[in-house]
Amino acid sequence: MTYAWGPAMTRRLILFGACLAVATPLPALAAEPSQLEAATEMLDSGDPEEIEGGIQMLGLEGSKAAVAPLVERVRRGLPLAQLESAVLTLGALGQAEAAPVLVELLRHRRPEIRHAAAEALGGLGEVLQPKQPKQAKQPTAAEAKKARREQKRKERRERRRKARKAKRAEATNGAEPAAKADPPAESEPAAPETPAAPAPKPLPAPPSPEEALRRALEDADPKVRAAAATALGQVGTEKSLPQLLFALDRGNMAAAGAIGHLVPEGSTGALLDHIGRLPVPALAPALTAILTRPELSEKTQLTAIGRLQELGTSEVKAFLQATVAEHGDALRRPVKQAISQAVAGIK
Amino acid sequence: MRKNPQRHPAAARLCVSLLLATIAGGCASAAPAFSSRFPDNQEADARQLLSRLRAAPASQPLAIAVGVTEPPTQLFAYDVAARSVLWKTPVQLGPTPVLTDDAVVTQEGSDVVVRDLRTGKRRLVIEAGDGHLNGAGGTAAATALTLTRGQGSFARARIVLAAGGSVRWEKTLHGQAGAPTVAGNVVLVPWNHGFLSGLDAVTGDEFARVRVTDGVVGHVFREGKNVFVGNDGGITQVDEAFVSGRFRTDAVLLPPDRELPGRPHLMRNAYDDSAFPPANSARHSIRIASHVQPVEGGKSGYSDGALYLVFYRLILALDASDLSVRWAAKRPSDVVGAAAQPGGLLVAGRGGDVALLSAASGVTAWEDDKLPAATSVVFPMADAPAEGVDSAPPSEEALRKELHAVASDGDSRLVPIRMMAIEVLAESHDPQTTGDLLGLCEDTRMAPPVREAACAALHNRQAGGDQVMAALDRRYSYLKGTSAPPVGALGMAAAAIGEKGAVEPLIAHLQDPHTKSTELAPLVDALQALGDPRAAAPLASFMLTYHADIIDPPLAQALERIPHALVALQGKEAEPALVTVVGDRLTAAGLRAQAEDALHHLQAPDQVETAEGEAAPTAEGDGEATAKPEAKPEPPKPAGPPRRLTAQMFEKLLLPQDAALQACLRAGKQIHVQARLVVVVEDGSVMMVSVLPKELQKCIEPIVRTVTFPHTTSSRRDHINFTLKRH
Repeated sequence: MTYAWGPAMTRRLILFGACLAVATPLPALAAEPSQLEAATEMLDSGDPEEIEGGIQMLGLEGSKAAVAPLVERVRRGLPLAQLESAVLTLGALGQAEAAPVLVELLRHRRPEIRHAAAEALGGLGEVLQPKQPKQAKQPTAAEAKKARREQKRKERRERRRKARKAKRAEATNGAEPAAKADPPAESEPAAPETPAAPAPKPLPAPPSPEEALRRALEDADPKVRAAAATALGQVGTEKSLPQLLFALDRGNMAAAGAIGHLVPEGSTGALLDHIGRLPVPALAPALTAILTRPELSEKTQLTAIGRLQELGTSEVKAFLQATVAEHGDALRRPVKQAISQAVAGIK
Repeated sequence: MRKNPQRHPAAARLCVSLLLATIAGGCASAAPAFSSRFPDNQEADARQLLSRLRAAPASQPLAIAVGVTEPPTQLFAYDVAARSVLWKTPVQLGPTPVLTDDAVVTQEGSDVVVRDLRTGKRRLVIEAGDGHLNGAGGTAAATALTLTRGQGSFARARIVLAAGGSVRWEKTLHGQAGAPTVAGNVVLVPWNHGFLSGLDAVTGDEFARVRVTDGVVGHVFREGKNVFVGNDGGITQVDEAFVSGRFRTDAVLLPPDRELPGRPHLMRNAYDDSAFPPANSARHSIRIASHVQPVEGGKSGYSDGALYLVFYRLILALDASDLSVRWAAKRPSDVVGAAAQPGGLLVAGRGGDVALLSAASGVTAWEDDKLPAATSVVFPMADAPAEGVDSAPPSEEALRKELHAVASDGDSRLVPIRMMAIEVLAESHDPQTTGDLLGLCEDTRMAPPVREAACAALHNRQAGGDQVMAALDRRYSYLKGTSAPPVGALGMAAAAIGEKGAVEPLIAHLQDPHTKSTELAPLVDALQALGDPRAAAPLASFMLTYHADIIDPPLAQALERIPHALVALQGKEAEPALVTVVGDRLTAAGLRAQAEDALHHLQAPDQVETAEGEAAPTAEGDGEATAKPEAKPEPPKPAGPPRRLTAQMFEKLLLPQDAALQACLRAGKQIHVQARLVVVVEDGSVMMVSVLPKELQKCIEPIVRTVTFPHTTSSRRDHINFTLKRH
């Protein structure tokens, strides 16, 4: 009998555990207290193998309760192999409670840990943004069209209302009252004299996952930058678009996909400007996202196709053909027709 | 020897004057020159020597410089007053030419050639044989030169006096001879380190000999009516003190306060190397230029109280008393010739530039670019026209800028003098200097020693907190193309200045993975020195994060400083983090030792108090012994039962069940290669057995539970990880 345990086995087990967690009915997920306790105690060991075992046991638990001891153990410091396992496990457990420690690990001195932390954070996308409308439910193309129509109707009504109001004001010769001057600031009560020295300013709060990932776009390691960009596509918001575009300009191709997922209606121009400047395969994830995202307007999608058509290379043709083949169901009919015409026009 | 047919017009006058002087002086001794039987430091001889020197007309050197061009090598003469090249003549490259009052002496192959300084025409050619020209000096009437060969006991020298295009006499010496000169009817020859002989210019007889034991006499030269002797370490006047055998009494010496870059000497050591440096030697570009003159009290002193350090293109004017820097100047090309004179410094560059710099400010009084591109230029003792020389020293701000320009010069040859400039800058209390040093410290284009010197200089800054804070605000960013600042040096500077606002950015840099490992140790020191308790938590977190994963040695050094920093910042509150580190078997040895030491320091005051409390009543005698906290004795190692159960023990315990376990691996539908077991044991009882894959659980768990585990000394449960492999 031999005694061997490697990172590959760890990963397999974690994946296995994650699958179990997903496949097992919820009541079964409740960890047996004794097993959780045992795993937690194993984490306290001074033997790396034993710690590894504890991490795996917690991963196999797959429950929310497994996160806290793992986070606590990570913060107490681990050898590289065990830290990698712990980060993978935290990512696989998919609990929002793991986010703070993963944010901390985005600043670990080992790039492989930063990379793993970024990937793990990206994996938490769903749980980190439960209230985000785009995460709640992706509307169908028809629903999105209806919503846009409703929005336009609202805007027209608002414009008409404002016009009527202005007319009434003119009729009564009542010019718009001048904007009220800001009320004088209330005099603040005099602060009581404090003889004691002021308390030191608290240190800045740790950044949010999105902020931390944005910082990671500036990392020296290209793998970390790429993982951060990908993760931003999963947990980020429009706020990260400028940095992602900047990262794309500086050669972080993973940013293209993230931009494709985050870019809102009316802001796709900056991304489309990269057509012709960057290889089409590099932009493919972003373009695919733009062509298939139902909340984006048909006009935006047709504009993207038009820009690709202008380029008219064999790469464009291959990309458009692949898009129809792989995502045909998600494409609007006019978009599909435009793609067909574009493909036909490219020799 | 070949005599030059041309005769010097002054020769006849010299002959008459020498004859009269000889009659007046008489013969001091019948012993041959340089004989070991000749008495030294004889009062009468000394009086005669001084008398004849005082009677000699003043030296009147022509204001003509000579130089050697880049290949094809030519000797040229440049009239410093008229600023024009007088003549050029091809020569075979040899040692640096030597100037007398009106002649230039060169060694060309095995010949020594004496040329007229005004015309360049040969006056005399002397066969040097295997000797080397080691010095020459003279007046319009006569030129004395020495040729030496060999070293130590085998050294031999020839002293030749040439007058009117011919050799008047020649003497030999069993030893080394330095650079001679002629003063009226006296030929002065320094020899064998400590001797100066006065020889009659007509007969060649030695009439006086001075021997000094507190200095080296390697060169003798004239400045007007004055005669000076000296060598690499000092220069003094030939006066009453000297002729009585005392060199240092009136001498000027190189101040020992600071070792100068390139370790240049006041003069060439005439006994170190029998030959002159070659005309293209770098020694012409690394040197000290000085001008010595008599000052009050009969002593010698440097003109303007200045020494000039020449280092390739750079020149630093130094105060002769303490070597502090007065000004710094940068020339367009490497300096290949320099001569100090009252009020200024004459410099000639390899690029053909020549200029007079003001002694007070370093400002160029005049300059010319008509000089041929040269490898060496020798200026005469005559003063150059000093028009345009100002007397106002540069302001502190101007000097700072000059020194910063020197320090930031990109020429790698200049590293030693750039480091000296940093050393001088570091002495300034100007806040802007902190900014300058910061710029140098973080400029990656700088040579590493220069950067290191600049960073080190930041550690003791007393001003410039704004500059430090501005630099600390920068972070590494791949996107913005910015680099991490030299955080360690900045931290130390902030600590020296007492800049409390630096704590936050320093913590941010501590947590930034792009902060170089080498910066971390001084960063920790700085946080400790700043004394802000807010730094304790980030430091403890940093220590815990890496205590079991020492990525590189500099990180280890930084981690080892944290325990004591925590104690300094937090006191007792540091204990939990330290206990965690000490108690973890995975902690690196160095860090553990430091953490234990820090814990000991934390506990020591209590122990001392307790010991004192206990010792007080009993007092006398054993009080001292109990007052010292003694190290706790090592706990006895457990005998019998093991402390913990290990995987190896578990493997041995399973051996009797091996067949059954192997059967389990093969029992299912799928034959398994291995199974992963996690077993928890407490007080010899199996608390839990977890098996992966799960389908083997039912088969393996009962077998494991049959095993009898020994009790352990530890109160904690044992967790055993084990991989069961099929074989």
